[in-house]
Amino acid sequence: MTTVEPRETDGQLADLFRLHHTDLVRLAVLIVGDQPTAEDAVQDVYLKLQTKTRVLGRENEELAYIRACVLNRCRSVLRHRKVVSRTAPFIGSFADLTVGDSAESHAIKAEERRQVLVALADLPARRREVLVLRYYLGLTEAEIATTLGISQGSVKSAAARGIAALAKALGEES
Amino acid sequence: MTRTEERLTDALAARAAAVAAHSIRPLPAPEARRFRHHSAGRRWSMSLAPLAAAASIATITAVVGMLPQHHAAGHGLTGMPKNSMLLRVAAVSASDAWAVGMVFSGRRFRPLIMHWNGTDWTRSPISAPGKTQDLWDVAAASPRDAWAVGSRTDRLEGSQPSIFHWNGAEWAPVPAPRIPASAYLTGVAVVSVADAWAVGNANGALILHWNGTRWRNVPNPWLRGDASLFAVFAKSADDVWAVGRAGASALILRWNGRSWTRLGGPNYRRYGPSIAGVAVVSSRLAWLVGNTRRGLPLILRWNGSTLRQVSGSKPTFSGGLTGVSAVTAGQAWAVADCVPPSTQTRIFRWQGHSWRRVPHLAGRVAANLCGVFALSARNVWAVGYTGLNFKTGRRAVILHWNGTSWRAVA
Repeated sequence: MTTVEPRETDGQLADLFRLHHTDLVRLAVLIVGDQPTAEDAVQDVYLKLQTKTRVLGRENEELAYIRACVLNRCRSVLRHRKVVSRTAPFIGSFADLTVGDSAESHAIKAEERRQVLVALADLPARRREVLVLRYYLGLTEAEIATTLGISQGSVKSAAARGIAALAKALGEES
Repeated sequence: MTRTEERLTDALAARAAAVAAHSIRPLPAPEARRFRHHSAGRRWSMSLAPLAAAASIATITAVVGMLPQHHAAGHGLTGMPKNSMLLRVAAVSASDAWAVGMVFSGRRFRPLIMHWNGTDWTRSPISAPGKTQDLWDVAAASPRDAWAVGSRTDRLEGSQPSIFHWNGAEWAPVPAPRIPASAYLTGVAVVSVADAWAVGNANGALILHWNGTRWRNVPNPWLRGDASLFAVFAKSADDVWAVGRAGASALILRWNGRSWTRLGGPNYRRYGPSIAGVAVVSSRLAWLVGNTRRGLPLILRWNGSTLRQVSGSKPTFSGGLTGVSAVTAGQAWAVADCVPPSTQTRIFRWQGHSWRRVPHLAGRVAANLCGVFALSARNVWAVGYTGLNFKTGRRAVILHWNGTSWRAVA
């Protein structure tokens, strides 16, 4: 992340955090699977950021930083989670996936979505993160690279491998 | 995009949408930082200043709910400042209405007050001393008596309640009681010039009362960490409702002229977890809206003695209802969040038999709606914001119902 001259910041990061709170929780849900864990992860980051001295960059850099903190937190939550299967939270606490404005969405649609999310949960953490940033947040490769602190080449390959693995798990041609 | 990519995009959006903004547990309100560190002549900010909204609390998350950027962009309405949101609206007459919210400018929330004079919506000047100032609700009793509430944040005091009064000529700040904890206001209701209520959060449910001279903090037993009030509705001096959440349950309070009591027994607590809006029509009819634990819209009806969830049409979308307003027993409106994968504005209408979604909105504005105010059967305002993410910018939006159709007017 670009380092810039420190300056008066009180409240700014918090404003940004609050502006994006819902989004951050949704992002965390996609990584860890269930909402309570996601809320905890985001809240942990929020509390931690308050005790940390930080050099602020431009707005998008700050948001990338906050997202990176949330993703890091999610990763360690997953690492330490004492459950047999990583996919359990996805299936166990399943929220209603039959959302949408038309009647198209019913059991079949929900089941299809569930399969995708289960397959996603089986991916290595890095690939899952890249896919979520790419296909949920719609970030560019450069933005993903900044957020995760890896090279654009790594982003590209993680995305390609992640999609290929999903396609295989879902029995599709990628 | 390959089939796999499409399925992934769809599944992620659906999963995220199932996380209704109102269902998210609030962030704890941070305390004000009373000192700052200095290091080698450089000034480091230690303060994630106490935010009004650490308050990302249910209510704010609802209204600030972020949507992924690959969904529809804003409609291109340009009458409102960039990065603005309107949260609530209130009308005195057909030629006098107010809408309040905030503008994210210079990395700060600044207050936004819009006024309708019968012809146009224009921005009203307001001087806000706090560094960060937002407005959450507005209530108007007459052309010369209106209140707007929210929060302001500064380094020393953290987030504190903020109250403004309209005297017919200008919006002026009115002193609010100093709250020991970080606090903010999310709802206001006015009965008369000497009787008004404001509710919010102060690491628990916060209730303030205006007696004509000053605002006082009304002690209440729900001033605990997991309780928060989102809206208040005053039917009369001795019938005032305040709604919100307490932990994982709905919090519904009623003022009978002497004291606040929590409505219903423990069985009512299965509703919720959160009630975002309330509208009282009579002693035998009140509407309460919010969201369920599964993140679906919730409508409750009070018949004078019991509270019942309105069944009927099964909700077909995720997200919570954010506001409700009623004209008569047979006329009421409710508005909702707009969460992905949908890009449709959600307005619901009660016509005496059932709640139905308004099928089509003129102009096809995709907006998150936050507040609604029904003045008459042919005059209803709804406010919120369009533009689905911060990067592309979001803009406050005002919709109007003329008796036949909804149209974006600003």
